Amino acid sequence: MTTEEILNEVLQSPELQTIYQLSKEDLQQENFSMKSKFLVIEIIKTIMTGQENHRSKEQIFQIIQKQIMHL
Amino acid sequence: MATIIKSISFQNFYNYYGSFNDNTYLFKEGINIINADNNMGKSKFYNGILWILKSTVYDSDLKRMVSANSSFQKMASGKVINEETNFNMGVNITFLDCDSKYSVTKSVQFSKNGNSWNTNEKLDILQTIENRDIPVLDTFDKEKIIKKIIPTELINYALLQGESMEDLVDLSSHNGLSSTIETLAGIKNLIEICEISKELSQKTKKLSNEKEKEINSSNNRVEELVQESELLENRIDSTKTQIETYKTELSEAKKKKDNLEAILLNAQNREKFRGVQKTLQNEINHYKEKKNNKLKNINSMLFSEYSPWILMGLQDQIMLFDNRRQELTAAIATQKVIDNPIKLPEGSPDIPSLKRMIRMEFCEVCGRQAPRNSDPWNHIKLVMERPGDKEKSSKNDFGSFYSNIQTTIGAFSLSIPKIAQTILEYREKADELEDIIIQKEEEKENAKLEFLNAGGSETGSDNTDKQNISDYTLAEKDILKYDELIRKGELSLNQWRARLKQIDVEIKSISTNSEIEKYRQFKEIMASVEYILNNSRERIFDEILKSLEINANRKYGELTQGNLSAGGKLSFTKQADGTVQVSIKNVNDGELTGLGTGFQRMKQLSIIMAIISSKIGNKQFDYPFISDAPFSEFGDNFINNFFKIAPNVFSQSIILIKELYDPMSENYLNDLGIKILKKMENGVIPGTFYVNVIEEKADTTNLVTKNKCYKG
Repeated sequence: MTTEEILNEVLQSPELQTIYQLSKEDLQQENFSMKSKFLVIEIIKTIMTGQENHRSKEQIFQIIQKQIMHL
Repeated sequence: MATIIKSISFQNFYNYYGSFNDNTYLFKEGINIINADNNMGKSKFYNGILWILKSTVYDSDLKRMVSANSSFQKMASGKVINEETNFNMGVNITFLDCDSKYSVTKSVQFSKNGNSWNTNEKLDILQTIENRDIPVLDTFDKEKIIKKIIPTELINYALLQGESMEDLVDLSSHNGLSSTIETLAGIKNLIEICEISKELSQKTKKLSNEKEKEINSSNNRVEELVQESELLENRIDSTKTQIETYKTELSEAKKKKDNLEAILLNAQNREKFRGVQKTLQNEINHYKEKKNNKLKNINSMLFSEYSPWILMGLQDQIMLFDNRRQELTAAIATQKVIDNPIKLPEGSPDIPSLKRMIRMEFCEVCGRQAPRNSDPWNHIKLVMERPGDKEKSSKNDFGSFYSNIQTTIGAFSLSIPKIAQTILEYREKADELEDIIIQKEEEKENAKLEFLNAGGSETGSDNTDKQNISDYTLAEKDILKYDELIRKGELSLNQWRARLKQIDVEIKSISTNSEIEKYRQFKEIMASVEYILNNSRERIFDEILKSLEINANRKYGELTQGNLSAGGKLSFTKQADGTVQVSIKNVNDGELTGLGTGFQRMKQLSIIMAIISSKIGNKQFDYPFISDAPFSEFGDNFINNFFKIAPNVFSQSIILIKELYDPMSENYLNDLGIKILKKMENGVIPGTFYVNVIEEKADTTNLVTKNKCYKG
């Protein structure tokens, strides 16, 4: 599966709607190339890109930490 | 976009003598057939691909894979070794991947040094960008590019030699199919993403807890709560692992119970046929004893008092004996006349009559009184005591002896002609008993078969059923036990998670520092990301599995279409621990066993094709499927079906095959080969068609293979 395909599947997760109150319309507009306005989706994308590019877990952790802590 | 091999070329590689240009195969998407007889370069071609991808080759002398660098001299063309002292041997693959073109060449430079050869292996890779060939120099980049042809994890599914097809999916192992699904459906990267998210989540929890303690170092309650929270997290982790183990045990126990259930369902039948076998054995013993007794009786029948079999055929001898006896009597009588001149007239009284007359003093001849010492009395006495008569009758006279024999055998004169019939009847009776025994033995054998069909064991005794019942009970107990353990474990998890939430709430209420709030948010987001990704993975796996059974049976049906023998139905069952079991069921939903090698390979191929077809997104295999002699156990029907459906599953396949070859035909094709070539020419089957030929007859060392392109 490509990262795009995985993201499409993840976006169908009911938890995004139940936990993060994201609407179906919001989720339909999401894709890999465009920056999301939802932090949780950006973090998911960071993990996927990190895995795809063989980044270490520490590197991925650092990137996510920056994303969250610098808000 | 799929990886497509555009060409494969050989230079002085095994039979492929000459330059790369002399030995080039151009390929397309679809099916690329290389049709060749034995020893015409199929496996050598396959070895070329193995050398590039795995740095190994198959040594047909050793019958195993060997490292290519230990086999260079065998890999070089025998003809070039005989002709040259300096030459190059190599294999080149050009391929397209995501619009980039690559040319990978592995070669060995040979130079003769006395009686030995110096060899130097090289790997050259060119990447074509905007029509310019740019050499790739970095070793790591070179390795990455080679993996673009076929990634390491897919090599076992993409590179196949005939026999290896049977082991494509490890259906015998607990999670063999799950692992294949994960690899072929391309969800290995999703699994990796889940693992990363899990580790990141744990790391953020740890970081968050440390920050809580650091920022609230003066607050004992926070410290206590953080410690409790860490303790609970550890418990949650170990309990989760424990639950996974319980699920595996539960799955095993359920499988065992199912197996035993099937066996026990037949226990009644087994008991019935065990009984039938015993009854029949008793009957067989009875009839065998009866037959034995009958056979023992032969002796007494030979010397029977009324009809001795020993006299069979002696009927004429009785008459002969009688005649001889009469002749003897007559002879004795004649002898008496000669020896005794006092000849009594015919009808005269015999000695006992004369004795009686003397005693009664009465002549029975004239009917008058003959008082003692009277003339008539003295005459009777004289007649009785006439000389010589007594002596003659006792000397050499066997009359009475033969008379006795005559009297005895006379009784047999009526029974002897019946002896043959009696023996026939006796034999019929014995044969009848033998027939009954054979029939009973057959009935017993059938009962035994029924017994075995009902799950009975040839070696097992009645105790096997008792053991099975005991094992079944044990499996049931295990199921209850592990169900309970899982339930309790999950209950604990829920309680601990609830407690963790309470702790979070309490800590938040105590400490409202804005800095720590960010760490808390970090922890919560990572926990929910882990949760979301894991659920997505399970959902995708379940979706694939759901469509897998339908797709696999569709593919299996397509591959075995037109076959006279039914190959059964593939059944996929998800186990409690998430692994998948696959079996082939017959029309009655029972396990189908005894399928031939062709069917077994088709089953494996169907599963592979089905998994690929069940993928999310692109439902084709994105890499070349290369197979050497995949159809060695398949009939024409299977081959035809494969060529029909393979292009829908594999973007590109390269099939090395001999089943389309006919050395006697002008174009080296048999009827099936001609049929397939026509389909390719008409565009029904996309791809290319090559035939390997030997232009000059030679031994293996000097063999030179050339290719003829029938459909480019």
